[in-house]
Amino acid sequence: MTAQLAVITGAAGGLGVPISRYLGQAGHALLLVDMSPAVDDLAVELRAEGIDARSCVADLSTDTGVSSVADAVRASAVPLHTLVNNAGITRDARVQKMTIEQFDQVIEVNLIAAMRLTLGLEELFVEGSSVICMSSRAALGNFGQANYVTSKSALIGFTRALAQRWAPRVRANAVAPGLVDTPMTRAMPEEVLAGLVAKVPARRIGTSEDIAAAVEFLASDRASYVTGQVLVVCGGRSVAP
Amino acid sequence: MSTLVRQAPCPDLSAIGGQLRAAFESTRAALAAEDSVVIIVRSSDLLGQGTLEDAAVASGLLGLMRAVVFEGGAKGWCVNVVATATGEDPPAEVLAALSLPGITGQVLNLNTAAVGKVVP
Repeated sequence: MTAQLAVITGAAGGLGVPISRYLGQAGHALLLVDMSPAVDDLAVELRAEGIDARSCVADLSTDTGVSSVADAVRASAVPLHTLVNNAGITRDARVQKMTIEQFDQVIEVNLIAAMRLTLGLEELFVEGSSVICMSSRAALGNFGQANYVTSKSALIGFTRALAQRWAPRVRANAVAPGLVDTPMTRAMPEEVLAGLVAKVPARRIGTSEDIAAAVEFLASDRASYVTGQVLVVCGGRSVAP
Repeated sequence: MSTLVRQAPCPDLSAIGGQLRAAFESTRAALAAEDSVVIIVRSSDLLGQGTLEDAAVASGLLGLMRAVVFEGGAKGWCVNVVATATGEDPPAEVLAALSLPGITGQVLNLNTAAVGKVVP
């Protein structure tokens, strides 16, 4: 395959690493973006595996951060084909206890920064490109996450509008992961996690590879007729009691 | 009568956070006062047929409703979303129906043009 660049935000995070590796193994050149300098180490690690990877430490809540990503895309000299808006945070609290700062922070990082970067890269996308926004099954509702649910649901709205505005040059889809084995879920008490898994028809926790595979599909030409959609990868949890 | 939270036109990216925050604050203030809430959005924005910003706000408001009801539906919090063709207020009878006990967490789409489309 001709080299095509995939930009992954939050690349050093729990889902960012497997998504990056999966896309790299599928033949994409990678631009790994994260606020954490750990993303530089990830690029080194992936290059050692034979993947064409470069990194960019950037704060996407600023125009400067977006500009540095755009500059890195241009410097790569590889056509931009895929953007995975994966960076995200949680600041959980019950509705009546949540501070405005907690609400605003999550909206800014999970939604506004993703929109800012996507729009900032608009002119760089080549024909047939794919934007993938990482939403969440929690967009259907979750306890103590009014800020997170709002942000991930809003991201779906943005995705649907983007799919129509940028068609046919660029496709846009969202992936909504359910319960996935990440450092965050591993930190849960065992009985709590078991209770959550029991509600999943697939009777197991999702793996990061489950999510990465969905992202890779949407980035690929196999999904060339798929745009404006939400792929819920949750083991059936979203339709179960 | 319920507290009404209305989607406003969103001029640009910088206004999105403020609109969602205002909706969050209005909603929880109403719930603290034991009032029901009806969030009114434009149907076309739920499908992303308008601007990027309006689409994000409309779907964000939908998510807000779901999060709030997920947390407080069982204790009587009553929050619903009505999607209308132009974002205008729905008829009074509809608003009254949506404040009835037990009706919460619902999306009522009054725009027939939404038939045949994805259910947000």
